[in-house]
Amino acid sequence: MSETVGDETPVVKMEGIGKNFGAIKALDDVTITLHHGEVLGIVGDNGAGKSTLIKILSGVYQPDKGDIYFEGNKVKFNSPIEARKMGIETIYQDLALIDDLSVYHNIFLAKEQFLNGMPVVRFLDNKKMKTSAARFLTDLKIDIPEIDAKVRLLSGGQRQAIAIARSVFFSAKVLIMDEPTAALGVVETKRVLDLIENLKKRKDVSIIIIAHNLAHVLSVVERLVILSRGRVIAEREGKETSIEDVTRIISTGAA
Amino acid sequence: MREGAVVLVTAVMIAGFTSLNGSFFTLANSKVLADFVAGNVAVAAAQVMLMVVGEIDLSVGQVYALSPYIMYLVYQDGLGFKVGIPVAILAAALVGLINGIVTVRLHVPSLIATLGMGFFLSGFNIYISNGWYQIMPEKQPYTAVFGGGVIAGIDVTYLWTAAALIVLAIVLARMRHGIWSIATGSNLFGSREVGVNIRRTKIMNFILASVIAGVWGIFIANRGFTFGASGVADPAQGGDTLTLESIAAAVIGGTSLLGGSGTIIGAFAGSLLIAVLQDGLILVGAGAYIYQTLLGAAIIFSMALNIQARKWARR
Repeated sequence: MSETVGDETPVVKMEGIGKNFGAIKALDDVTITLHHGEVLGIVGDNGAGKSTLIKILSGVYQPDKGDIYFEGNKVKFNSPIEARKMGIETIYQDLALIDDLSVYHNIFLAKEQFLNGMPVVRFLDNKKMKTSAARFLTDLKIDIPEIDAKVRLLSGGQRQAIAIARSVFFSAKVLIMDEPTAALGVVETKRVLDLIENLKKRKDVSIIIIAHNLAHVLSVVERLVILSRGRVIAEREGKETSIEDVTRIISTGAA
Repeated sequence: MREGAVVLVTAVMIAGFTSLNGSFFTLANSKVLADFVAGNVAVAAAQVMLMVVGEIDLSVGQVYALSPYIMYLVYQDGLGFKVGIPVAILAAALVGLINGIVTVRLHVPSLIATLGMGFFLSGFNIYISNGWYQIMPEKQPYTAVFGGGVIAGIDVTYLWTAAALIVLAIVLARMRHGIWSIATGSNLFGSREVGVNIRRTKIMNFILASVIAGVWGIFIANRGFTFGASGVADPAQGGDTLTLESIAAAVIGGTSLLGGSGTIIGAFAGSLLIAVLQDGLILVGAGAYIYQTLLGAAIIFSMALNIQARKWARR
């Protein structure tokens, strides 16, 4: 089965999604699309359904109604692992980084590269992992003092950047970022927003950002979906809208 | 470097003991020290591997007695060391596997799982031996490889010990199992999320600790052959003293019980410090209780230093 918009197949299309928790209608007939290389923002007040929506996309919840299309094909994710196998990665605030490992071992964790040689006793190719991790981080303009440094010694923004880089490095197609700047200071926030800008230029990954801070979201997104009480109430082009406009829509619940 | 500080303290202790008793710094006494370290340090290094994944093994001292006794029983049956040694090593591996499964699958904390295993085995060791040690008079080729031989004037146990430490250090730094061990101990759920097989990683380290304890127990049982005497299978060999000294060596060497950090060189430094402390105090005529008192203080001091250093690094 295939679903196309114009001549371009969206990376993700969630169509008519409904989800109830008991008597509470968390999502009601929500349709969103995510295009190739696009940065899409999803905003809304607490309880608007943002988290439920991305948890359905990342396989944590299963929808009661509606379909998900990934690169034009209808898909069903029974677990986050299934979504990840397709290339849909979620970056949570509390990152799955290993404090006691170096930056490059974190990037290559569970995807290690080995020296050629004996098939059973395989030695890590630390040099190769180090150089490719360093090159990749430089490409993304992620500033890490030492590729050998343990992640424990890095700042919150650097850690966030490494977690994002790790997903992109292993060819994630869709990155879901849940409040990527929530716990960060001013400089650190700029670091993460700059990284999202750099990823946007590369065009090889599509990004969904969920955030409370409208100024942060608006500075990087190309399109904005506004949710209220489980429904999409407005869609805006990133450049054409203002914080005041979005705030008004969220607070009145009407476009 | 954490290990450097331990080596420095050890060097100061050596100088101190030598000034008090000249016979400390002699070839004969260095053999005493080497025997102690070679008997303990591999077990301490294996304990480090377990502590890196956030676990501990309190049954290694009992496996250290179990394996040589099983070797003796099979040998006694007329099958010789050729069969006895592999069977003894398999028994050790089985103990490790059970420790691992009880911890990882049944979610019993390893402190309790291996405490129970330790008690079980101390009773079991006495049951199969009737509480008596047994002399193994007959030297066979296999006993020479497993602790009973001397190559170029060096006990094979020393060579095995050096090899084991080097291999474990390489595993920790240059092999996937080492990286996965650190990851598992540092961030269990994060590691699993990324795709690290945390269960297998932990179970492998339990098996490793048990096998090393069993093999080194065999080495020590066969040690008599190196100076023309007999081997001895003693159910009281190792025991809780060995278990606690292996943990002490790991902790003094900078390994954290919290998981995620630990080094093999640290286990060596810790083991050497314990050997020098114990041997030196005997030579200067101090009572055994002073050794225990000082060792206890050293463990607490090292752990406090370790935790504070971590906090400091986080800033």
